[in-house]
Amino acid sequence: MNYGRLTQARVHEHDGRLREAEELYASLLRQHADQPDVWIEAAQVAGALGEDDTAMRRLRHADSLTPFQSARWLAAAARQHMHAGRAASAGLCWWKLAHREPADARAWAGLLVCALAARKGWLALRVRMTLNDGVDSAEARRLIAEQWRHMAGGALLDAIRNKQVESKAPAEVDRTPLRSLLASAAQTLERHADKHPRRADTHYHLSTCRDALGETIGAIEAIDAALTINPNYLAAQRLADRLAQPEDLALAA
Amino acid sequence: MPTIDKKATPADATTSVREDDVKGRRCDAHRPGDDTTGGMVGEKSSARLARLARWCVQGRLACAELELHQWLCEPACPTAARVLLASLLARRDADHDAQAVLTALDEQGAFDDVHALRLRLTFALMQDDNDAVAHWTQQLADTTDLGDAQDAAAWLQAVHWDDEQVAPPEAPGQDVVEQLADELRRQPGVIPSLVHAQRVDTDGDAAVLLRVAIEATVDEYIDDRPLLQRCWALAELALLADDPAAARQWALRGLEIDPYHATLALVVAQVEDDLTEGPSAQQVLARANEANPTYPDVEAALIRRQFAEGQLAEARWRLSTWQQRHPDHPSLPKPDAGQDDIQEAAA
Repeated sequence: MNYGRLTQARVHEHDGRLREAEELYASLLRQHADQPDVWIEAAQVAGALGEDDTAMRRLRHADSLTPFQSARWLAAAARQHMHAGRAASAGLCWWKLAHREPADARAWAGLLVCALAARKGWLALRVRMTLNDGVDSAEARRLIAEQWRHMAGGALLDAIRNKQVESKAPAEVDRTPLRSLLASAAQTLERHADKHPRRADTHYHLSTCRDALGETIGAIEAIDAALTINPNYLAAQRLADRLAQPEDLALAA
Repeated sequence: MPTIDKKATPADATTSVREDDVKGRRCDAHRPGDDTTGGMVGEKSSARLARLARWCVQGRLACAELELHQWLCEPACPTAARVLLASLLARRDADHDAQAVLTALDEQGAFDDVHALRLRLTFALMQDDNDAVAHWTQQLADTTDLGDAQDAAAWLQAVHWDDEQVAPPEAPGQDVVEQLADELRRQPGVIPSLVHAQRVDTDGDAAVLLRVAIEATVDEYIDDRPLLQRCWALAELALLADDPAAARQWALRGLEIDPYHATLALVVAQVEDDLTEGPSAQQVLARANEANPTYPDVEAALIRRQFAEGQLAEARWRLSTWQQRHPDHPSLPKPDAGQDDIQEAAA
């Protein structure tokens, strides 16, 4: 093992010089392809650079070098999943670690945070009770906060991927109850339309919501999709006719 | 030395972008066709946000962070972009910068973003700042973003212990209900779409608010058509709330106006009969089926109901003819299916 280069790589990583660390780890991996810990550290550097595929590939390789998943591997894999917004996969890693080492409060806190991000409140509550048995409440809260620090970005990335966030500036968001409901309904229907693109009714209702939100272009796109699927859809035809009218004519009508 | 692409740094030196923030993370931002620091020409906020989210996991995290810094300076920067930047900063322990981003968000009046509130509470917990913990906890409990209220409640349950008091999230206030009812009076056309979205993915708090607001308007209508629409909406929302008695009541009230209404008949098909209140589901479905022979779901529901009530011969005969008319309909088994298949379909 070239400990000099490994130490140098670690120093670069510690000091935030991630590209330099990455280059050193890449060369170390070529020289020491049988060292799982080097693969794990290299995966962590790739993860910090936002290279999720590379990080996961290195973690899988590290996993293949040992007969069982080490605590270090599980924690590293969990963190990478958290950063990428894969709360369920991260939770599984923390769960394995917590069951292997029940006294590891950090693992229980990680599992709790992943349960919250995956919207499994019942699981979070059960894990919290276990965590509460192991450490005092102040320590438990600190551990949860520390883990959320790693999950927060991933949770938001996941919400953005699933179109569950508002993409308007605060000043542009008019938060009347109806607009909140319409915005939420439009997000739900967009996801449903992505999953079931041949459902004309979903496109029609999405168009209605967007129209009510003043998103005319989006409303036209959705109603066009509905009528492409079912040209005889009467309600969709009526909405399409109205959307095709200039606003002043529509008001006059 | 760090290998920052200087071109990726915004020309305006007054922006909050700092090379220290991305030191050592090469940013090959200027790929052909990209306008990385200002967003792509004509790119919508949602598309820009989605692109930056992809960059965060596709090896361009530093570029994403730089562009988020730049976006922050624009008035139209969405809350999600600001919170994403704060989250990325928090992940690499740049707490001070992350909190500065969140403070700027508060100054814009975006107090109720649940992602931002959780992050602020996280910082307060880590710093053991009890006053701040109490403040952000209450903010999170009071979140008015309907879709986030349940998540916020679960979060609070997880980070709070029994000896601490947090005011529970409030039920929708009368003023919110009245405001929504008033908006629905002006825009009744959105009601079916809002109900449809709830059927796709029910959000408990939003469904309750919608139901209460529609109920507040239902007795104002003399004309049949708007009343019928509200009866259907309330019946569907009652089903979603697992309130079969109310679902039956609203469906039967709608059927008094239009006894052949197919979708109301389908609601009645999903609840148990109460002959003291009105006709049986089979009667309602048979009547609607005769009036809507081209609506296969009504007859399918009638067949299921007949199976469920033990009228096997009648159900089998109807199933056989129904299959001949709708050979591709996915909801019922083939006529030659085994008894188990038929029982399963009936269930």
